[in-house]
Amino acid sequence: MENYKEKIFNVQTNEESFRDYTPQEIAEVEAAKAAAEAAKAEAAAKEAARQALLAKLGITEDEAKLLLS
Amino acid sequence: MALVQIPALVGANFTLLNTGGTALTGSSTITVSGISNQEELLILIASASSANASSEINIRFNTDSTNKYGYAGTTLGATTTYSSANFTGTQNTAATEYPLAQMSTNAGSLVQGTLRIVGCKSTGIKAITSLGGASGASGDNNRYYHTQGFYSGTSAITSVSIISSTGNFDNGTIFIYGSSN
Repeated sequence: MENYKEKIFNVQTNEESFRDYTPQEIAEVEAAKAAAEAAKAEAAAKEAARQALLAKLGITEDEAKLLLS
Repeated sequence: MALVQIPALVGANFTLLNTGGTALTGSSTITVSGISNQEELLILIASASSANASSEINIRFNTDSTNKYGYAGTTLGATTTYSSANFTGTQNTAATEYPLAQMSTNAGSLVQGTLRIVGCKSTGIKAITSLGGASGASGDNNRYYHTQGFYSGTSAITSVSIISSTGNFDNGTIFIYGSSN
């Protein structure tokens, strides 16, 4: 679970502290998360379609590569 | 004829600023602050990883999220099957952060990389050279960014932030080396 905090390490004092994200920063993170989920779903859908096509054609991946070479 | 004394050239002399490195855990933004009077910085990121797959790992200076970052170079992407589109140019002259690499679709993907920044204590443009990559870790769509570019903020660099676009960091270390010359 994202904690929406920035961890800050100061090299002068060797102290560690935390700062809460601003609402805008939280929105940016949520948007990036949605984009990553969408990209992952798209990649999975493409792979499923590729496997389905290979099965429909009744050929292996190597045979498909040979056809396209 | 009068003799003119030419000052000796003083080369870079790096030291590690954050002793032992700073652990990349517990947040999606980790900032190393308190950097002072450094002409050059060398940032080394070792085995950085987010709890979320496909996270972009990016860098900001002085917690500046405005569009003062520019870069151009190469993107290498790893898909499940070969495509010429895996190898592309990349450019952005008004980005809000500097890209290092993108994790694969597996959350165990590890990002490694280095950035060298010149002109850090000047009021002018800071020049950046960056090489970053990510392991597949049985996933795909991991991306390598090999770029040169700039940060055009006018203040001296006093902090470096590493940002995971999605998910808290759960692995890795950032080392910040600095040279005052």
